[in-house]
Amino acid sequence: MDIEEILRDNHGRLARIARQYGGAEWRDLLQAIHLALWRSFESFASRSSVETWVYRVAINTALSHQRKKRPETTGIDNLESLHAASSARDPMRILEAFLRSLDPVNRAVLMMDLDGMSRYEIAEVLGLSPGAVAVRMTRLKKRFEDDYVESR
Amino acid sequence: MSEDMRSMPTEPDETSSSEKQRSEVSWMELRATWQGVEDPEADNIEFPPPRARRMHRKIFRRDLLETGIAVLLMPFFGWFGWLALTKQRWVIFAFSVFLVAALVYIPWRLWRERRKLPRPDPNRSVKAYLREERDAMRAQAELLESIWGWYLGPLGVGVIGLYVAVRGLVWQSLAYAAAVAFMYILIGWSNRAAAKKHYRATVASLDAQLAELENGQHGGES
Repeated sequence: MDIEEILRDNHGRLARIARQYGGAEWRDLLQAIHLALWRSFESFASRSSVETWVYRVAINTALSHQRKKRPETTGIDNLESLHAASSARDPMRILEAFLRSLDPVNRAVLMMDLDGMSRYEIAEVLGLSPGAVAVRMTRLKKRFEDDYVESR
Repeated sequence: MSEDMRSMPTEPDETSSSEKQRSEVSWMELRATWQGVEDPEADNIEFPPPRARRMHRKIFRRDLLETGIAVLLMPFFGWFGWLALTKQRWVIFAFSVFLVAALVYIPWRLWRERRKLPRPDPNRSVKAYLREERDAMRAQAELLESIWGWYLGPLGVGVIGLYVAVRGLVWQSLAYAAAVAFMYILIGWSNRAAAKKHYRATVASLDAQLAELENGQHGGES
């Protein structure tokens, strides 16, 4: 498998990560993630799956990008946007607003789960134990459900 | 790859089984919708070639050009030296040999520094790769910053010495020496500027990336 193919196959999830972490500069972040994947592909030893490698590089780059930029919204802004999305009663809008309201690591956990990764793969990407990932996921889903149900 | 969410361990105070089942179904639906969302705007973004590759290509082209010039000039000064040898004009011969030696040394030095650039190694981590790239970029910056010692100095001394040896110590020789010195000062200054603009800036950016990568890794652990 070559890097072009990997980037093509993962373009959707990379775009979603960039949109979640990059804010208005999500295009720059998407380019930075592609660049980071290009650069690290040569050192990718196939010791992990392609998905976990892609996510590891993408999340590291996204977190780095976020540290460089000042956060565009405050926690209160995020809560307001979550309530605005809730009032629209669109689960996807609520989910996106919910993701933006989370801290970067929890956001990564939830996004990887939404992308269909197992808790073992999520744990490998983040350097957490699978149990810790499972507990985080349970809490996050509960929080999301509470917010979602509240809006109904 | 996809994990069955129903097998996920839950906390003791979780919702009842029917509520849980309903929420899992809803979550699976959300997952499917999330994965199916299309993003035509993201599909149309054009990506520039990676910086590292651009930099490698640029350095390769520069080294090739310098080597080509050296290879073209070597026979000329070699022939000049040979003529001086046959006529036993030892000073001219010495400067000719000095120039040929400089023309051998310059490409060798360039190729040696280029060999320090990181090579694909599947056993390297991203962090190690970034470090290697930073060290290679730093070596390139130092190469340009020290251009007086290994490029302009030897060539300048050789060219001026040869001219003075041929023409004698007359005012034309001094004017030629001044013109060559002025040109070399300009070349030296532009190389220092290039080192600062391209390589030092890249070193700083790689340093920042390394620091952020390390902090990011720590930040992700609990």
